[in-house]
Amino acid sequence: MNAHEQFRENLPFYVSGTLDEKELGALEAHIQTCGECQADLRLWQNTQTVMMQQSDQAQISLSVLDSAIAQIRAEQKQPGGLRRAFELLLIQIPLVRREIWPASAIIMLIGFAASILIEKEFFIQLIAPLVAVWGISALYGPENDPVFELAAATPTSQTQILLARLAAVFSYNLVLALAVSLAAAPVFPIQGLDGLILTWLAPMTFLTSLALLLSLWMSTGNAITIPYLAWLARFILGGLISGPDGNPMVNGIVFNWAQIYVQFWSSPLLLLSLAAILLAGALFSLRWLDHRLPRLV
Amino acid sequence: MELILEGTKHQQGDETRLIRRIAAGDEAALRDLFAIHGQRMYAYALRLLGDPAAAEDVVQESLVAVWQGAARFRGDGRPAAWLMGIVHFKALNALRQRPVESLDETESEPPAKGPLPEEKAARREQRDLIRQAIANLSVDHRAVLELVFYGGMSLQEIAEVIDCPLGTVKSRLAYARASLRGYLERQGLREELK
Repeated sequence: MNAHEQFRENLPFYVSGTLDEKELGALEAHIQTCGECQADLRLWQNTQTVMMQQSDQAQISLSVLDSAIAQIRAEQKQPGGLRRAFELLLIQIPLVRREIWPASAIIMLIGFAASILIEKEFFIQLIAPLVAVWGISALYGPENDPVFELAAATPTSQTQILLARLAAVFSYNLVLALAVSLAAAPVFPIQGLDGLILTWLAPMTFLTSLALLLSLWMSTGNAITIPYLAWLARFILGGLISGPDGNPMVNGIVFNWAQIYVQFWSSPLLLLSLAAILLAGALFSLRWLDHRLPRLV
Repeated sequence: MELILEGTKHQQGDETRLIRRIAAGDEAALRDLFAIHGQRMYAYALRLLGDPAAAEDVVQESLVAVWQGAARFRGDGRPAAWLMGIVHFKALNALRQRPVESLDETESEPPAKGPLPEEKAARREQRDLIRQAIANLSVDHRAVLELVFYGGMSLQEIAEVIDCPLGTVKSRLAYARASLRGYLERQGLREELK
């Protein structure tokens, strides 16, 4: 860029008085000799005059400040984040389908009773994730929520509503499964309480996250069926590779794939990581679903 | 010049202290800040939005944002630039939600004093044309002109306020100049500029 262009760029700042002293002297000297810059200078001076007049004419009302302070005070009176979250949780619990609570408890009790009767922890391991998946699949959407449209139109974000319901139902199922495991632990001394919990905790977390994502993007039916099939397949394939008499019922590539599949369900770290990714994906995808919903405010 | 610079630095220090007090929850400091910059904030929002009610809403939202964000003010730049940056983004958000109408069409110039009636008429006509030329600019270009001439900001400060590189501010100014000139030339005001 040549010196003239540089001076030309500085002209608006010369007019507004924000040019530093070094640039000022050189620019003033240039203006004396440059007709184009003199014309630009007049243009900017006129522009400034017009803008100053217009801006000075526009008078702001003091009520704007009062309104801002009233808004600030009103926002300060609102409860803190934790209290708001707790209040949201309490509001959302009655909106979850009522049958989830007793039905989950009854099914879990049946699993517990079956495990005790046949003296195998297998039923607790099988049923805990299935109960959780059913509860989570029926959390959200017009199929499950009689006030869905109304809830969708409130200022509370759908992510917060979903998280509150998820926290309530998942915690409930977790407590049920822990209580059943605690009660069953004396019956299975070799497995112990830790071992018993480990058999279902990670699969349950993974499957509930999967069910949540599927319930948002597909139907509740699919959100139940797909995780159920995935979880039941783990037991069917487990049975095939171990066989009734200890000899595998399959071999070759089928055996290898079945083994990988069964091992997948016995990898808590992997399952919990995938669960976190699926949960994040579900919550993130809610943004798109949220845009399709009506808004009152 | 040094005295002016000293005065500016002093004022800057006072305003930074005001923002620190706001961060500590002092409402009186917010009132003081409004007394200093409220008019400028409003004029800027009005320039961008062209609607007095919407501009007042933007100033109100900006004051709330200042209250909530005062603790994050680092004090590196001029408080005025930080403040106008907030107004700028609040106004742009408001603009996205509705079509723009310009105030310029409805504004009237106050009666001038001094010159002869012919000179007054010529000057008024010239300013009307410049006003129209400014109104024809896009919001981005009007914003830069407002920050230069009414906000009294440097190139660097404007770049910070509108969150753009220095080159973008320069090119917007160059475009605004060409556009104003073009409009005035088309209206036969070429001689006024020479």
